[in-house]
Amino acid sequence: MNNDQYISKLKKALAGLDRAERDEVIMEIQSDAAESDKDLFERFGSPSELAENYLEGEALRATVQDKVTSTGKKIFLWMGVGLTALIGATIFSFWQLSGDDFDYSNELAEELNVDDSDWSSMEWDSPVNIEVSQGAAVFYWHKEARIHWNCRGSFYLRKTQKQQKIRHTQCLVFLPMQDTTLAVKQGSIVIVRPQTSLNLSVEQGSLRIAENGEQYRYKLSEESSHIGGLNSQENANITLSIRAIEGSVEAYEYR
Amino acid sequence: METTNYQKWSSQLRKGYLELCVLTILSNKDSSYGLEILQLLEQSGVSVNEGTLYPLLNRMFKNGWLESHWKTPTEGGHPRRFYQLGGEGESMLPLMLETYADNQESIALLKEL
Repeated sequence: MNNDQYISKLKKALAGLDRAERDEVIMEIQSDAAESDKDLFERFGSPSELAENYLEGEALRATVQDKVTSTGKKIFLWMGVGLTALIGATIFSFWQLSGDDFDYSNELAEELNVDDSDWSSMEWDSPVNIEVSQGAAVFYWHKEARIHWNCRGSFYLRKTQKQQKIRHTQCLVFLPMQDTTLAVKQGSIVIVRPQTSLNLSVEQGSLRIAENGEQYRYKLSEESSHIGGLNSQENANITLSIRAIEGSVEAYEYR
Repeated sequence: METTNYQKWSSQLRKGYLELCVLTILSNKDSSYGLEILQLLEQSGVSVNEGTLYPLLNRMFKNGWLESHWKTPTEGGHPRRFYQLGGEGESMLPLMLETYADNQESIALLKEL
C-alpha cells in the first residue's frame, strides 16, 4: 500500500469524526509523512488501527458527555457526593460524641509510647503543614527531627506533598520543632503544650488547646465561632495564630 | 497468556503516563510538533509509535489540555501542526506530577512491607 492509498483508506475509516477534525488529522499525517522515508503503514499501523485510536477518544468523550449532560445522571452524581460527605460527617460526629480515648493532656499516657509497634515514624526537618478533614488528631511536640504517628485508618506522610492530609481517620501525632501550620475542616484537633509558634485554621470544626502550664500569646481572628477558656500572655515566647470560621476554639478538658 | 496480560496492563499504564510525558515536554518548550515530541520521548527512553502518539495529541487538544496552531517552516515544506500547553494542561500538570511522585513513594513503601 503506498502513502496515497493509505491516506485514502484512512479518510474512509475516519468517517466518524467531524469533517474539520478529519481534515486536520489527515493534513497532520501527510505533513509528517514528508519528513520520514518510512511509509505510513510502517509508522502508523494500518489505517483502520490508526482510525480506531482516533475514534476511541471520540467514543469515550461521547460516553462521558452523555453521562454528564443527562439530568438523571447529574442528580445521581450529586447524591453520591452528598452521601460521601454525610458518611464522613457521621463518622466524625460519632467520634466526637463518644469522648476522648484517654486524657490527651496527659503527656505521660501509655498510649503515647512511640516505640510501640502501632506507631510509624519518619525523619522530618522541614516545615510542617497538616490538614485534618472529617477526622480527628491530637498533636504533641518533641525535640526529635522526626514525625511519629499512630492512626486508626490510613495515613501516610509524603515529603513530596506540600500539605499532609489526615482524612476520615483519627491520629495521635508527635511533631518536630519546626514552623507548623495546622488546619481543621469539619474535624477536630487537640494540641497539647505546643513548643513552637503555630498557624492554626479552624473551619466548621473544633480546636482544643491543652496549655499544661505553658504560656502562649494568642492572635485570634474569628467569624461566627465560639472562643473560650484561653489565657493569652503578651510576653509569651510562643504565639498561636488562630483563624476560626464557624468553629470552636477552647481550652482542653478531658471528656 | 502472561505476555498478553502484561501487554494489556502495560497499555493501560502507558495511557496516563504518556499524557504526563507530553505535558512535561511542552512545559519546557514554547511549542512542538508530533515528530519532534516523538523524538524527545524516544531520547528519554519512552518508546511510543506514531499511531499511538498522534491520536493522543489530538485527544489532549480536544480536551483542552493542549492548544495547537499550524506553522509552515521558514525553509519551506509542508505546514506542521504545533502543540503548546493549554489552560487545562497547565493546571493539570503539577497535580499529575505530584500524583506520580506519590505513586512512586507508595510503591517504595509497599516493597518494604
